[in-house]
Amino acid sequence: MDLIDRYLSAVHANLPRTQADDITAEIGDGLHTEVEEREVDLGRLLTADEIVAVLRAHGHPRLVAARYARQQALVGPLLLPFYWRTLRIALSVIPALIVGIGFIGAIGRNDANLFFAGLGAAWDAALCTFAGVTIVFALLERYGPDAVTSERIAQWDPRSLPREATRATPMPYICAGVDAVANGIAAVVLLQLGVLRGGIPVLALPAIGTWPVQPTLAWQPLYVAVLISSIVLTLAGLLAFASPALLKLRDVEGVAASLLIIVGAAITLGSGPLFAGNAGPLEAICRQCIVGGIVVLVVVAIKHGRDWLRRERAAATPMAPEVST
Amino acid sequence: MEHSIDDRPELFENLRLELRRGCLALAVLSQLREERYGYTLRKALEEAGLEIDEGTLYPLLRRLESQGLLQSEWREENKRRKRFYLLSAAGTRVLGQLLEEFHRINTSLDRMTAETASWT
Repeated sequence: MDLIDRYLSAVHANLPRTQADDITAEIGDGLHTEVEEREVDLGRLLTADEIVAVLRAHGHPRLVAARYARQQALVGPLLLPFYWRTLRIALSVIPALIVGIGFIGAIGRNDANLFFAGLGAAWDAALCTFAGVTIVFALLERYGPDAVTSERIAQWDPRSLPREATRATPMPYICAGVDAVANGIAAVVLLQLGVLRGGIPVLALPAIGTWPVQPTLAWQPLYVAVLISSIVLTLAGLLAFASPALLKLRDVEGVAASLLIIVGAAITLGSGPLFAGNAGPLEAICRQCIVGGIVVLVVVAIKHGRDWLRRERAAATPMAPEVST
Repeated sequence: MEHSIDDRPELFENLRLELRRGCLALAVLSQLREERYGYTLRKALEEAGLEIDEGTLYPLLRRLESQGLLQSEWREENKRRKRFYLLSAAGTRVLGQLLEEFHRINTSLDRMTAETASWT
């Protein structure tokens, strides 16, 4: 096998399988023709060093093959801003959530090791999150942009631009898609934490070792409210992703979901002890967390309501004519 | 701290490549009004003053063919099988449109650069 054949073989190995033979034959013909032409000009065969120079000028086999790849980037420039944003949010929220669970577990069981176990699990979760988000965006890059993103970008409406100067935010339908995925994951996790009793999911944490406390039925209103909200928001997010006309309902859905969870949380707080047995500081911490959650949800509901009103007013206000100076 | 262009030769090189990239498809289509295979096409472009390496030319030919602007067939010549390319009917139409656009841009640029030259 001479150098040119070895080179072609290396290019062939990195080409898309369906086209590899065809492309290699064409590159091989070009190389052989070039070598022959130079040999005719020189009146002798090319030396090994001269052939090496020809091949080096042609480029590294992997680079040559890469130019024929259908996908030139794992995540292209169109999706890159959304990729970074999603990654930033996911890498902030998920590991923090796991550390928080470890912290609560450590207090509940009075065992600091649980907190350190949570730290370790958070690192693993961060890696899995990074991989998962990257895979999703790589698939979107391969199968999505032409069919989904470009079409949506073409449908943009200048009237949807914010009235005040703000930092760039992802396009609403991308937010809807990300929300749908996040809520879908939340719904699955919540369903995993429950058991069906009379057709209704009831929160029942699995026994963990010698875990001394179990949740009471006081959690049920909050559990059901969050579960219903997650399922509804998942479906609403998917519909909004598929049909931009439904995007305007997202604020209404946000208000409704926030109010539902606030009501569920309030009923839970008023339904007696949250844990059977001696929960110690865990009972107080959970109650404070629920109160904190209610405050956050009130703010979220107000924000969604204000955005909805602003949008409605903007839609009702005719655009001012341009004034030429 | 600002760098002068002399400190960053790669800046000029990147801009030059960008400028060339837009013209390559036009150049290739224009040379395939008569049938050629990759190597002779590259030589024709080189002789016309536009050097292009194989790593750029062959993928470009594939892309133009997949877009329906070129047609190709494998044939034997000088005891070796070669892939010959020729403009398709759609390619001929698109070439005409591209040439019109190119001349329009060229005229505008000539006008603008002439104005710039008169200032300096």
